Amino acid sequence: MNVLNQFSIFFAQIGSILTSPVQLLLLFGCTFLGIIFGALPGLTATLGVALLTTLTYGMDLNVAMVALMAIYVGAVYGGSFSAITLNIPGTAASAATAMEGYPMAKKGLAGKALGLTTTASAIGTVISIFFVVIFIPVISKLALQFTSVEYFLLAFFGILISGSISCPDTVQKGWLAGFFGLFLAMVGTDSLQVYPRFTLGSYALEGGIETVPVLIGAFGIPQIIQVLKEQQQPPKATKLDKIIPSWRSIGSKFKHIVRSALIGVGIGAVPGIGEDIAAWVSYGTAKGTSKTPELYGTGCEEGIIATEVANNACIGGAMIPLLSMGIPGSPPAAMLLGALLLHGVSPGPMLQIDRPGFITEIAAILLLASFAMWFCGIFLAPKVVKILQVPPALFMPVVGILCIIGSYALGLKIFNLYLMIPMGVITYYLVKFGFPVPPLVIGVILGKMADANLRRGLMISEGSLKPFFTRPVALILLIVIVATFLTNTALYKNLKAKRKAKRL
Amino acid sequence: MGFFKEIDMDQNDKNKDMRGADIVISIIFLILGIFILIGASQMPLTDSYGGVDSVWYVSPALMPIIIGIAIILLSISILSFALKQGGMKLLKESIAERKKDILFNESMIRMLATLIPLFWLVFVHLRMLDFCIAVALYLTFTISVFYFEDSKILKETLKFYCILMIINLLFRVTTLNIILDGFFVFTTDILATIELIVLIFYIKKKVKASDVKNDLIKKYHQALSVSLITPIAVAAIFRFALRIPMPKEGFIMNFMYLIYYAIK
Repeated sequence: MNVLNQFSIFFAQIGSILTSPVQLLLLFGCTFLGIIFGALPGLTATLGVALLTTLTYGMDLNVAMVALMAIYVGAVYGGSFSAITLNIPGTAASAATAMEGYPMAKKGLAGKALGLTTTASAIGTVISIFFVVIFIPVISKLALQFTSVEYFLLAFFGILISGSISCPDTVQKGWLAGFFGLFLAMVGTDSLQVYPRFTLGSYALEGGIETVPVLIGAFGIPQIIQVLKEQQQPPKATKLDKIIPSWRSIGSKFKHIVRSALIGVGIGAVPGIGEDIAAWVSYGTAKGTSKTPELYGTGCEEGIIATEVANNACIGGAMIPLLSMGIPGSPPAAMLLGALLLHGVSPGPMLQIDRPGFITEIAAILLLASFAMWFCGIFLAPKVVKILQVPPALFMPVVGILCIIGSYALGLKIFNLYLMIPMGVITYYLVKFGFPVPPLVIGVILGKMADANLRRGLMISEGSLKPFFTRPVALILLIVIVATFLTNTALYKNLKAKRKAKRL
Repeated sequence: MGFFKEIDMDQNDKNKDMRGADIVISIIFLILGIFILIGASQMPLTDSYGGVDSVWYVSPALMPIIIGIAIILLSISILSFALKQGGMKLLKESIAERKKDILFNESMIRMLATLIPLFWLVFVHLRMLDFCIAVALYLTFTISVFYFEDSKILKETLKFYCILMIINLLFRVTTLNIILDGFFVFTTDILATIELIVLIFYIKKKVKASDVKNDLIKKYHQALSVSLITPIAVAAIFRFALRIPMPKEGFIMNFMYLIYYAIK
């Protein structure tokens, strides 16, 4: 498909959304809903996408994507509201925003801080769209050359890297969570020999563990338990003046914006690593390269821009491996993968052939969602701050009901709930003891793919491991996997310490 | 097994409290790993299955074996790291503290008050009662006790809720619900509605007896509104807009059908 065709699809999609009152209403409504999900502590972008997925089941694919992308973009940005006005990050991604946003709010500049985050988030999303449009076709073409061996290694790499980076405690816990997710994916009838694995004689388990209820359980139930278990006083928000878009401040920090967007897209493209890591890395880089690092922590505009551009640029980054290879770049993208599969779309290298123009349509939706986010952020901010005053005890049980009915609605199976609730409780305890959720989720999603491709690859080579070493991409992936593993060993640490000692 | 990198001192200190729990969790995962390997050993590896001769690399056991071994190795690694960091001492201290502490401390009661109604709703009520009544029972209890932030009301209402649920369970165990539904189709729902009303009045009584009565009365009305409106709204959206049948449609759902078709 040539560039002109891409442009015509892009503008046709924008035109179709703008001229359809239903889609326009969904775009703004879901963006606002996303902002609320992001802003309310305890609710996350992943949970927002998960719950909305169940509501979009009966919708046309295009309309469903408008709703899902809008809530995703809104929720990633929404975390900054509570971070700035309450000093409570609504999402993990906005924790870095609180470091600079709250001091600004205390100085009476909450409106300016929110103006900066709104504009920076919109710019971050728009920049990431370019990468979506440019990189997905290239990677998809490359991925067409991938064999089963590369797909197995890619899935394995996703689990390993997400376990290494997202773990708050020892790295082994991250990997263990990933392998636990892989085990959950093994439950059910095996795809090659139709052999029932770990079904414990239950017919309901023969179909395997459904991804969406597991994701809703893993991201929704632990939040509900945590919020209700801990005594929570109603939050008191800082007074909010007029929201100022601050174009001048933004314009003078062009270099920061580009660097932060690149960090966001890059981190988003790594499987399983989400917006929170992107925000912190970008914040750290901005502080590290700043001429005035002492200003960080006192309400520094650069810090806010760095975090917000990066976490929203992460959205586009996460879409790159998702749409080109079927591997989610972040937890909300994992949920989007589930939604796409529910709508009969199989993301991967064949997507360009099966549905030409789909990626361009997604880019157009992302662009409109970022405009809707900017509009809602600037003009509806006081309403969001009012909603933030609602005590969590009032809305968390309602979220619980939405998790329940949402999981049930997918396939009308009560059994989904029997999986979702225990999965939620298990995840709650895993998180409590320092196990990260993203590798677990990535394991559940990529488990079947890893299993089938490993065996298929070995079938082609008749049991020989030679393709792992002779195929260039496989070899690169293998080297990266081994390097990720080795850099987390005591041997590497000792070598590093010795070198440091020698230098001194 | 000190093969893996030991984490930085700062982080180590921050997470040191976890080492006691790490021992327990790593043992649980170790058992899971062994279970996976046992399960995999029972799958066809090189023998024939369904008339097809298998080879090791096509076997359904291949991936589970890799996963099982990885889980066992990682569990041993976490266990040994926890033991090195004084996890056993921390675990003993934690058990001793638990013994000293009352079994049902504040945190435990809050946890029970969160989980009991949730499990009850999913595993018992959703299949037994009309969706709206089941959800209203859950929300009325959960929202009220957590929104009030009064530990005395929480404890007493939890006890009362458990008594109500035991009565409910007795109905189910003795199959009395099926017998009564034989006489009149919505008897179980009507009895559950009576339970809901009793629960609402019980909470109101507790609120009136509270020292901060004026504060709580306002919260009580807000909690009650959310608890009763939410199930109706959710059922209306899912059933009538999205055409998704509820797990059980009884008394209230049938009433909603009457209104829906009357309007239509």
